[in-house]
Amino acid sequence: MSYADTSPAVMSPRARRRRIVRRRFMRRPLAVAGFAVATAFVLAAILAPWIAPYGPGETDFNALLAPPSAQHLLGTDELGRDVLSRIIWGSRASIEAGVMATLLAMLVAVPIGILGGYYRGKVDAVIARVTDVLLAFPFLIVAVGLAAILGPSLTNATIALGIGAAPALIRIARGETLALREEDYVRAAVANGASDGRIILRHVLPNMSSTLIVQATVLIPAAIIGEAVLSFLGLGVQPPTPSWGVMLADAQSYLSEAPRLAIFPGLAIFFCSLSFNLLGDGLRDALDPRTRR
Amino acid sequence: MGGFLLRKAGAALIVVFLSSVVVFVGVRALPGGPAQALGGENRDPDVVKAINHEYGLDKPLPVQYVKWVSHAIRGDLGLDARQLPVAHTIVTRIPITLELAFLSVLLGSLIGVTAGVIASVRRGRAEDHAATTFALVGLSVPHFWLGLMMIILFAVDLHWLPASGYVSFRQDPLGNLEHMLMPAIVLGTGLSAVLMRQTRSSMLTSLNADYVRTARAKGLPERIVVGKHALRNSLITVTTVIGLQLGALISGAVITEQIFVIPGFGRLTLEAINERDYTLLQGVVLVAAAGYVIVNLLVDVVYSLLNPRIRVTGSGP
Repeated sequence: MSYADTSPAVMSPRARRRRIVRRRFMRRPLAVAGFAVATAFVLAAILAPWIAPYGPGETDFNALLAPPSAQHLLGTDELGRDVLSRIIWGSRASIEAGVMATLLAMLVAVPIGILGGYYRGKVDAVIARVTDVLLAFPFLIVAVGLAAILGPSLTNATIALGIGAAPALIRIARGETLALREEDYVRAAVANGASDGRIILRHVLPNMSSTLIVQATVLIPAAIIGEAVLSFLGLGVQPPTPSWGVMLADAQSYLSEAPRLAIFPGLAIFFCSLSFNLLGDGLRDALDPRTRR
Repeated sequence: MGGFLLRKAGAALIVVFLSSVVVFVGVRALPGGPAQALGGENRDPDVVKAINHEYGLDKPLPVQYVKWVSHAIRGDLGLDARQLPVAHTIVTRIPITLELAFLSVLLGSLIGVTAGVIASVRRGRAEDHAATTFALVGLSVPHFWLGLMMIILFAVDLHWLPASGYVSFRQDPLGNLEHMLMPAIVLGTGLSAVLMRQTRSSMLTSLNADYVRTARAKGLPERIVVGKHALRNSLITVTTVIGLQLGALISGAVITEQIFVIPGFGRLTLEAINERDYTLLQGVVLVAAAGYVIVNLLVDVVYSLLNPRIRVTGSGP
């Protein structure tokens, strides 16, 4: 940390702000813990082939529904598959759905929201109505419908989750743009004769980035739970591909004999989404100039 | 006030109309098509043609749409694959889901608002931390998993509550509540977490407002300052949040009813999808979308009643 203290005499405002934000973030133990656990889940997803003790479909017929032991730390399921390994492999589907659905929602919603907020008038009115219509469809109904049209798969579940998250994000991006438009530096840029594209890319978008980052940390855990729900209903990841939702669906038949089959994958979902939520709360507090320290 | 409500109602009508178009087009985009679903294995082109003709599916899409909507307005949503009227099926299923939703909103807002008020009054103390942690856990826990855990604990291990199923309230009020308790808790958890956060933050704002300082300066007891002055103003935002959470509530009802085997509206949606019953599906989705819009309109009305500024200026969110 020593290099952080030898601050250069002159720092750009952005670098100084980044440093303040980092410092405020590091002062929150829960946020740092959330960041660490979230990183661990992402690493587990990437490194699954190397760190999982068994393959995701590897069966051990000598240990069906076996309780936790030295060979199988979290026990095995009804086909003798190692639960710990399947949870590690299953993190791939969850992280992929969480990140990709959030990216998709951003790519769809942010340009639309900015357009509405920046040009206002008729464009905005049309966008607002369309958003209202999209909001009237609960995300699960959209997801169920898309799975029915496109067929159930992780990709289609991710698309459904991304589209489901878009309307709320459109509203947020629109609101931010409406506020940023009135800022002095935007007026100055307009007076300087800057083009709309330049104002949006250089002034509006960078200044709403902290809001978008915080939104992303809210959307990722929501999409992770959403993926689990869809896979649980048979509308997402298809067996034998491991996924926490699929594991929970399978576990439903063994609630009395082997409740741990339902406990462990659920704990994985819980801790994964909790870590992203903690990270998001920490970032929001650190990025918000109104909160002190 | 009247103008404000009229404009809101007009916007809601437009949204319902556009939703009906989306539903209609969306269902037409499903693979297979209604004729195949009805004809089953029989793919004889003549049979498919006959079915298409019988259901008017050989007419142009706009004609089909107008026919569907004009019937829907009169409460006729057509016949499902089993030749039962869709509207009737929906009407019999909705009360079950409404009861579930009512109980979970009741539980969720009681717990959420109470916890939020306590957290804001005792800011920074143990109660605040407990409530904030509760909200964080409530937001992070997958609710359907919470349902499975409650089944394991209260039904499988302790035998306190039935694991699944449904008894109508009229037949057996106590049994009905026994069956509904776990689903309502599962569905209400997320809502209570969101409401707790919202209540806490708007309470903190109102507790710092001038009128609260005035109330305290007048020497009013703290109970009245918090309850009458601060909480009343915070409840305005809380109502809006309940309206906005309705979509999440409908989505939640689908999976909650699936886990606890409750024959409600959510389960009907999944049945319609799984059985590829198109008439049923478009009816269900249309009713869900219209319900969402209507409830949000009602929320706007309540909001304008609670917030005099909107009534006077006619503006507002």
